Amino acid sequence: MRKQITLRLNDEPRTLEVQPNDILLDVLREKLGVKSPKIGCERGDCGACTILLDGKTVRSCLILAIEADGHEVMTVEGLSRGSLTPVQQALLEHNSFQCGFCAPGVVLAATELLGDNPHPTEQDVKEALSGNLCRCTGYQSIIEAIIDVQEKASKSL
Amino acid sequence: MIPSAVAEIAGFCMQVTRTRDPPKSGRITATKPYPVHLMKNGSSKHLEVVGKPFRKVDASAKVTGQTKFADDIVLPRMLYCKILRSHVPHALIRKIDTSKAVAMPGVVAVITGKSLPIPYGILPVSQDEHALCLDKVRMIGDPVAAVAAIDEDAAFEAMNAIEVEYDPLPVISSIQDALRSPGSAHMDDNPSRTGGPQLAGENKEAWRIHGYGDHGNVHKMVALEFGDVEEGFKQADLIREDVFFYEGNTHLPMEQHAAVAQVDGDGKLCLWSSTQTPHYVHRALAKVLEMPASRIRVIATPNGGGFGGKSDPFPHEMIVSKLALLTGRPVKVTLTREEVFYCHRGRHPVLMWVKTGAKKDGAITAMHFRSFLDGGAYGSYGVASTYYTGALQTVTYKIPNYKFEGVRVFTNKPPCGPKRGHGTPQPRYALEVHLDKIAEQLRLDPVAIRKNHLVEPYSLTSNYLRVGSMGLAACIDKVVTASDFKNKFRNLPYGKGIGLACASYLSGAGLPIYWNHMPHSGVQLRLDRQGGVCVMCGSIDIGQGSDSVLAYIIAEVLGIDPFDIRVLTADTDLTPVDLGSYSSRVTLMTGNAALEAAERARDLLIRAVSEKMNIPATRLSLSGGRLFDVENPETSISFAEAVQIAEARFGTIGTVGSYTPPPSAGKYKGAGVGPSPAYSYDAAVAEVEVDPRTGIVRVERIWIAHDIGRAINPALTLGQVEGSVYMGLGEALMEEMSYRTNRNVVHKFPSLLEYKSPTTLEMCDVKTFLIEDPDPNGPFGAKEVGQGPLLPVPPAIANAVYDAVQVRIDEVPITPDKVLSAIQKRDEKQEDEGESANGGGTGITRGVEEPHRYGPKSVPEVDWPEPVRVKPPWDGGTGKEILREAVHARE
Amino acid sequence: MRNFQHFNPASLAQATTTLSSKPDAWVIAGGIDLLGEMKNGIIQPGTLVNLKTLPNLDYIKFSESDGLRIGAMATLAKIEAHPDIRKHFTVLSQAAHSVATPQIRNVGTLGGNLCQRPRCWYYRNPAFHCLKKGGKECFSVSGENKYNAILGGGPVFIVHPSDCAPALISLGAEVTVAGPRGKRSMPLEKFFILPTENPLRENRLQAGEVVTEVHVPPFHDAGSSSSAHRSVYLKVKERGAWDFALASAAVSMETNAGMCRSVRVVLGGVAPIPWRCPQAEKTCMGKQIDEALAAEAGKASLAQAVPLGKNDYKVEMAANLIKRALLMCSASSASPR
Repeated sequence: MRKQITLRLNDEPRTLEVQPNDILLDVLREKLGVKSPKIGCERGDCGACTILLDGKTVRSCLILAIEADGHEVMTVEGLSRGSLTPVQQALLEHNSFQCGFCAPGVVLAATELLGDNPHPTEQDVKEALSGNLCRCTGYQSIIEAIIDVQEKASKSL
Repeated sequence: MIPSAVAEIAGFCMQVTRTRDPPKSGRITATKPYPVHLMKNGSSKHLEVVGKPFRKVDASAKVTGQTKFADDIVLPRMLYCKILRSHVPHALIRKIDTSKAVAMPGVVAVITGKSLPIPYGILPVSQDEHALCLDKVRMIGDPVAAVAAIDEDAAFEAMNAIEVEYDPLPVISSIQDALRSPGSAHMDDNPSRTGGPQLAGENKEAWRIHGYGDHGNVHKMVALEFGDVEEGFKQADLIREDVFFYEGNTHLPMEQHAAVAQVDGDGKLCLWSSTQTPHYVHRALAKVLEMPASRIRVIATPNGGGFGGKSDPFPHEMIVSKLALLTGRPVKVTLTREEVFYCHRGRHPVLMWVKTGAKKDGAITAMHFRSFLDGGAYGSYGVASTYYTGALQTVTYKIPNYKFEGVRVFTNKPPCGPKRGHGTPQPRYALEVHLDKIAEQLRLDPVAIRKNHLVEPYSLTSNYLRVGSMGLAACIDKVVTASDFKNKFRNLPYGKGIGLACASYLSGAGLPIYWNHMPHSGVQLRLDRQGGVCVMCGSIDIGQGSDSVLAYIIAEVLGIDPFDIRVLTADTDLTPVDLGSYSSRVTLMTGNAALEAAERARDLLIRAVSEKMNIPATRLSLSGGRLFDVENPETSISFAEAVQIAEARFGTIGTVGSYTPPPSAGKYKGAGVGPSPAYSYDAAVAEVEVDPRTGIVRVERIWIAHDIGRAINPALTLGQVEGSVYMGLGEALMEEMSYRTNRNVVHKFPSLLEYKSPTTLEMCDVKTFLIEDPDPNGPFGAKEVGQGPLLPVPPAIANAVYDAVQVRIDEVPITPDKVLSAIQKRDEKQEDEGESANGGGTGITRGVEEPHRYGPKSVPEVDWPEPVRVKPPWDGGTGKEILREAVHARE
Repeated sequence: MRNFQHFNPASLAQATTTLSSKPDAWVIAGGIDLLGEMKNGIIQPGTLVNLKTLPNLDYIKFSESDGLRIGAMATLAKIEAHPDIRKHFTVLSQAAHSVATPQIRNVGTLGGNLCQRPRCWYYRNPAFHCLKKGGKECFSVSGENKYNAILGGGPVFIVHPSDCAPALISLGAEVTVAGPRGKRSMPLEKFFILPTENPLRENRLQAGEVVTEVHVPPFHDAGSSSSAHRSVYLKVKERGAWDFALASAAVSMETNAGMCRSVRVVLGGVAPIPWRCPQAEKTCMGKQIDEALAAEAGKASLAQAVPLGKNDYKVEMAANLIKRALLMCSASSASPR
């Protein structure tokens, strides 16, 4: 039942064999060595396993690896090469995270939001992050940081 | 747009504001500099790090997703472990057949309780857990057998191939059942009334979940009386009784518990685990594995959230250790989310009865508080939890006569333990709502009734808790003014409401979990000749920022950049003992230990340089990475040069610091729970909107003022306050660990979908004020912030709901169905004019119409033991209990 | 999760043939609900037939003359954001937006949303062999039934979890299904079946059949100046995201000079199927809708409700939702949220 698949992971081509029942999250973590997507529930509830699949945020715990064949996967490892993205920089400056377990998912959800909508309102940010549970922060420091990204960007123009 | 949160440092009239344009190092701008701080050695210094909104030392790893959690660890030849858990709530294990599992491909080892027969438990008095159940299961989710296999799938298949035969036992599913089960002092002759199955032969022991405890399924009963409550009630103008219920809820850390065990070539065991208490895990492993502790190393990995849920030693930690020893290969286990729900150790469901006598001006003359805790299947921290439901009532408002009776029962459900606020949010909710009702009955302002009767700073309470700095009055003023409470209270339109509540919490438990006279926290500091500083401490960062606090304090004393410090924590081989990240103890206790170690290191440097450069030590100071002569600032050397001079003079530079809390004032039996080096204080105002058609409560905003003593880092402090408010909001409105009533108490919500926790969309706006009045016991005056700010949130919301729709919800969580039901009942009654509008209040209510309410009507009858009687300090008490003979003689 | 064969069909025909020839073959679209069920061990497919690789199943087409056509594989994210749907079929865009979380809507499809299985605790827990799974008892009757049905229940008391279904039924949508013997269409309302008909299933899909398209017919008089069409979806949930409806109401209404000319009222989260409310519609037809009439319509719709003990709150909640939705649709100035 094994099948060879090829996907682009963080802009690098990766070819490997998977079983039909292999979940993309597990394959990323166990076979491809990418540890930023976290296992928080394995049921699509928490958002800790969020990745970008063809540029859209998805729950990698509810994606079959075999169906990622031919697609592009981006994780936080691929976002920042040497330097932080504006989203990460803002989250850093605002001390947004405490335990940081939800951080990779939040970073990607915010990245997708700002890609689609560079000037989100507070409500837009809340909607975009509504699928990423955080138990530490009460979200306030996260939302504030993301709004700050666009304000910084507009100031620098 | 988010209105910026405000943190106001009242003690120093200093305002820090969250801003959109944060400084390089954080998100808070100080508009005025911090004052000079008087150091312990009598010198003074301008604070350069403490009080500044620095980034967390590990913030970069978090935003890049590079923090290494336990499940991220992969070792060569690592095996994967799965644990078979009981699917029945209470049964004897007749037989376990592992033969099929053992024979399956990829399976390397299968173990049962026989391999780990030694019991353990977090408290010395409750050694009632086994890594794998021996002969009996006590709840659904109890571990029965474990498999190690080459991959997770093989382990899973093998786990499912293990066959277990059970002989069912009667099921105890509630406080009432437990109190009435055969064998208890409150035994009911008709066992069928408990709802469990009838057993042939009527074996009373069969009903008993544990063979220890006070009696039957009663785990622990406590009774304490300070002063004379009956006498106090006689002096009261009003006596009021209320009954409340606080449903259990769970921590829900985003990270599922995980552990990896490895045995090295010399037979030494190393366990990496997402635990808040590596030291206690170390002790428990040594006991259960029957190995010298010196051959075991426990490394706590950064916790992906803890909140108290990773404070017990857990079966999976023992299991992977044993499997690693047996197989000689590394073994990893990561619990599923469902297993995390069964591990639990969360908030106890507590039924409470409170009777208070008050004078017309609201002064309390006496309080009698009873709590009934549903403990679940094991002891865990339960004895402490029981005392905590009665301990901190006295540290906010003056209670001259106080009586507490508490009982914890065993039930066939996942065990409860410590969750953020450990045992105190439940009574605080009851107390603050109760007080609101008293205020209304006495026609007093809810602000005045609280503020006029506060406990004095630097005083002893009736139960001998030593209150230090006490900023509650300032807290109340802040939130009342900022929220415009006085104009809004009882004046908002129907459906909108505002409510106030206060609280207090420990800055670390005054006594250790196992009795000893050693320090609670130790810090070791190593300075190398190239200027590097390494701090080693047993404390573990669970997201609260304890690694950062260590770095900030040491950087402050040594005058260096906190980001240049190597922080090495929570490794039992390398770091001195710290008891763990619980009871809000870390900033105060490890902070004090770090301060001591740093001051000793500083003194060594200064002494050596003083000798070498011939400058009096009193003139030397460390700042900005240099050591300089304060009277001649151009004369300075780098920090590294100073270390070199010191190393040349004294040899390798290393210092230690440690912290032991001051002895507690109470000497009576039960005095061990409640004392703390310092108490934090909180006041919160909640503004809510209640939709009377759906019963949905939306919290619009919470103003909260927290008496922190001193914020080591105001940015991280804000994060703790906001996180606490968030968790309190979830508990108040939606979170509950409830169980299906009809089918063997299977957990109702074993998922993050069904266990509702607030998302971004439910989180309210939070306005935070920090009140700073440095406490002499805290490092730089700091007190706790991780737990206290949760406490006032549920009662403030409940009081606001009443202000909005005039029904009392005396049960948490305040879900739409409860609100709707209370409103409907009131409206039905109002239509029926023939009946009185009394909503069936729960006790003595003199002459005032009781509002309609949703909540428990009564508490069970219990034969309470004779209380431990203690004379309050103002009656000449010594903190010791009055001897029984003396009590009888008086009677 | 047990292993299975994974099959990427070359055509719809190949997909349906495979599905009908293998009794343990299941179709996978977004996979959100299916993988959840598989991980919980409620179903163990031998084969998964993947529809994602089939071309031309994820379209959204709108024209004034033909109305709206949505391919079954269109994601909920696309539906909620589609400008024509936002403009003309507000109820659908609101319903799609109300589903789960952004990451799930990026993957979840319309077909999957219509065909998802119930969320009842007892059904979702493998420890309970309930009536819905072929057992003998619906445990919700005597058990935890806070989220279960108050209308149309028996012998099982699940509620249908779809948000898009009530919205689409309020718009008079038709559904097209394809099977080994070709395609067939039916009103979406007729697609769903009560448990009395078959306690194991929620819809009329036969072996090998898959949903391929939903069609919403155009409105009459769309251009007339005095007539207006408004629709709204109101959903009560315990938290703002990732939650199913405690109760929801979809109302689609055409008014002329302030009078209700046609209206469909459908409830979600209260019955084993999306629950059409003819009583409410009859109450409103030909009348100007005011507070009292809307309340009457709500009350009439719930007259037959039979709560199970822990879901009484749903009766008043649903009646209130109908009232509010009717008022929102009829208000001349109000643009539904």
